[in-house]
Amino acid sequence: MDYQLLIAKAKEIGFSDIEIYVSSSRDLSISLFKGEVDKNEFSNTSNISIRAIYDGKMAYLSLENINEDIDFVLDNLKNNAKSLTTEEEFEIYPGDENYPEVQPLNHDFNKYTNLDKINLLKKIESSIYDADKRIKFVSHCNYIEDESAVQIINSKNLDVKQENAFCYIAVEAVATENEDNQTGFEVSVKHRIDEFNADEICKEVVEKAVSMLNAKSVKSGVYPVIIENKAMSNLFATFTSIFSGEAAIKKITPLLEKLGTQILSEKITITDDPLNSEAIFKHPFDDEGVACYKKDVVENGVFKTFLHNLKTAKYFKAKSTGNGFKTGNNIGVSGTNLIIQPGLTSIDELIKNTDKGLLLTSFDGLHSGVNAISGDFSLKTAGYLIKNGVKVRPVTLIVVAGNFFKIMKNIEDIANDLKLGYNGIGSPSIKFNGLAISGE
Amino acid sequence: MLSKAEMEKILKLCLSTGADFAEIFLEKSIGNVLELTKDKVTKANTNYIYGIGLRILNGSEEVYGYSNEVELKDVEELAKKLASSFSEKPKNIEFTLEEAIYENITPVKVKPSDLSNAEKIAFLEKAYLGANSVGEEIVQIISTMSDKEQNIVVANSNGRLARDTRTNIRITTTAIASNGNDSQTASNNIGRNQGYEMLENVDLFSFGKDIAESAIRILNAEEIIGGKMTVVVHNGFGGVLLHEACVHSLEATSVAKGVSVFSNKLGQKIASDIVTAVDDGTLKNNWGTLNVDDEGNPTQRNVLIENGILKQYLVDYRNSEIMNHHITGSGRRQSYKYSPTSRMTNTFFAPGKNTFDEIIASTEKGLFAKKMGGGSVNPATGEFNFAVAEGYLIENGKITRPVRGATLVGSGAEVLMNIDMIGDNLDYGQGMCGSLSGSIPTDVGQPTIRVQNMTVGGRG
Repeated sequence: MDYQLLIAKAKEIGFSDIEIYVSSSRDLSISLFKGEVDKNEFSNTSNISIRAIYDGKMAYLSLENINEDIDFVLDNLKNNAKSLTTEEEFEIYPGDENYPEVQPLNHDFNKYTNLDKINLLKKIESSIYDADKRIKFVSHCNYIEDESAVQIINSKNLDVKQENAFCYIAVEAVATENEDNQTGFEVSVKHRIDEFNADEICKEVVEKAVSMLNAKSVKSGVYPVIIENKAMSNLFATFTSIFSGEAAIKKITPLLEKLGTQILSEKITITDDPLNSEAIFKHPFDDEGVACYKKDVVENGVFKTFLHNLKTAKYFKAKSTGNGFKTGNNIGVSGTNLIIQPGLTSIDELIKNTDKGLLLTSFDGLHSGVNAISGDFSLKTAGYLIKNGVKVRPVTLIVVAGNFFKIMKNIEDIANDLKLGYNGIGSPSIKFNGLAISGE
Repeated sequence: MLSKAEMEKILKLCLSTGADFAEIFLEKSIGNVLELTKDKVTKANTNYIYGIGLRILNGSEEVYGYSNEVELKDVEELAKKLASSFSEKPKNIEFTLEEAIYENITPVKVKPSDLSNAEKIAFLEKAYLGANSVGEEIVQIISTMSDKEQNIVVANSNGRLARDTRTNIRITTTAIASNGNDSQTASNNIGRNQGYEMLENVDLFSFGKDIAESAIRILNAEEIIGGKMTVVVHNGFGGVLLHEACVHSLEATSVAKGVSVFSNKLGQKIASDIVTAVDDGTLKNNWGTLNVDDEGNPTQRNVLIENGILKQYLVDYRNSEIMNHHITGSGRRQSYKYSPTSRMTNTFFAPGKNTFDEIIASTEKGLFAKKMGGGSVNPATGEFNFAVAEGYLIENGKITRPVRGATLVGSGAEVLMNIDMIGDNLDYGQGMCGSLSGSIPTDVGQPTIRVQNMTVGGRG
């Protein structure tokens, strides 16, 4: 498809502006089961997302056939744009003068053969089996690498490009004892294959599965609870939409008219950090070509800013914060690397300072047991019972329930163990005074 | 797209290095999404999906590749690349592609392309008006209409060639109720593998109104006090319990590897005697129905559990070879970007003998889960969780106060044994099921059932 021709034709038939977002990726995936390759997958795909403004309204279209007829595409876009009755105003961006620099790619995927990658998985799998007799299966043992490129071109002469590459190993093991099965799961995401620490991955997975064996419920009640960093960051992830300017337009965030007020404990600072050094994905610009920058969304508990794309910024008479990212095919709003800043206490100390309580290490049902608008959550969880400052036994089949905004106003302590996930959400472990636990 | 002769050529190329089986999956789909936020149209999108997936099986190993370059020379390149994973003598597998003939169980009268955006928006407006009629507590109403026409061709080295068109149309409305301090959400959807005629006889005003009323009831509900209790799960979408707590663990994906809690349990009692569970891909025009699955095999009615005894698993072609189990028409995938594996279609508990009123009246104390939210399961441990979207207390055989914030947890093996009453009011609800081969439309269904001794979480 000739993009310049598409832009010229669009202008000709009355579109005020048009933008083309072209993404392409090459993936390799290998999975191993019981020492044999279970599946080997290769792919090479591209996607063209087009958005265009007609009569002040913006419509979206995406396609995968690069030979699609231009007139047909524009006709379809015009038809969709004409259906819109929203009063929102739209904008296509001419670009910024300067964009932050991102280190160039430096992956080593081609230094290793397929066989090397298979052997790496074999080594991990066999060390997991060898580590503990109670490991019954390594149910997943996958290696994935992905190289992708994005280019954004528009009728205001924007032309920006970015490339990305990452690889990851995902492993799950099942441990069995006394007819009780428990699983341990670990994903390690890196920029280079030589950055993987196979021993560490094995240790994590085995430890998680085995230490949960013979887990039981606890008596229902209110317990002091420490939510471990990864679990905390997964819980936080389900609430990040509250900071979205899009949610503010739709009035589906509790933060309307809360700018400048205390919304969380003063111990909490939340930063959107596009170029965080620990991050797997660094963002010099967003999916609209707006330069990204670091800012506090919540500073010592005070709500400082919504995150905006061009459209939501316009609606609120603000400037885009460089957070216009694709959600599906449309440009929505999301954080780049959204991080709850760590405190000073070590996780060991948090546990030591707990008389009787729970350390929660995982949540299930985050897609259904959370109401991001009200803040209510009611989630299946698992972890360990703490007595006199020591983890005494594993706990499962319990539900923790509360209101995210209320508990985040009333936290006891924050650990120094910030963990930034590959999904761009990060949190340290946090201790709460009392959360409702349902069990026996 | 590729001709029959070209497909045969590609399949032979795939087998040229000694593999046992090769398969082509071609897809061309169009999807449209329209969104109405209150009475304004806020989204009008079209997505085209176009690509090919090639699969080669050799012994226990699978090689899969996909691309959206579907010219013969590109596909030949892909086939050669995949075939280079093996270096054995070709097995000289002989086949000729024969077009599968089947009765169309997903007929369509009004195709997505037959209606203008304005005509589709008119449906959304009815739902909006219904939801908006309920009162000032309703602060937001968002409705979406999504339609997708998926055209597929599957061809394999067993000589199978099948084409199908799936027309998945779905309307969803979400209402948010607020009293100033607190907001609660309710949502519902209707979806079928059928044309827009599916909405002809639907009262969309009532559909919207019911959702808004539900949001207000949830807003005014008290928090539930958690603990172990008897739970009555209502019909329709309540079937998500069966889907998550049990049938995911009956999919060959986890059974073949021996990882599932139900591995090696065929012929054994895994549920209480009154339980019969079925996965049926042949229900006319249902959301999870398919003429042929994504491996080109006809769907069928599979009785999984009969009177408490495990009868069969859900098995795709690859796992049927590994497990020595017949295929069940269950090979499914979201798109050409996924290799197929065993998945559900329309899954439900068969009706029992009790009436709804009998079930409630005979329950002294418990939770009535009128509408379930989503859930998930870990097949290796069998542990599941579900959100209850709309719940009520049952006290002395009567439904009394609304309660919110309930989450059900337990283990699949246990909950199946603890079902002690099944109603006669089988109904279905529509969901999107996510698993290894992507997100696919599935119906969940059941009559009202009663489960003893479930752990219910809450913060009251």
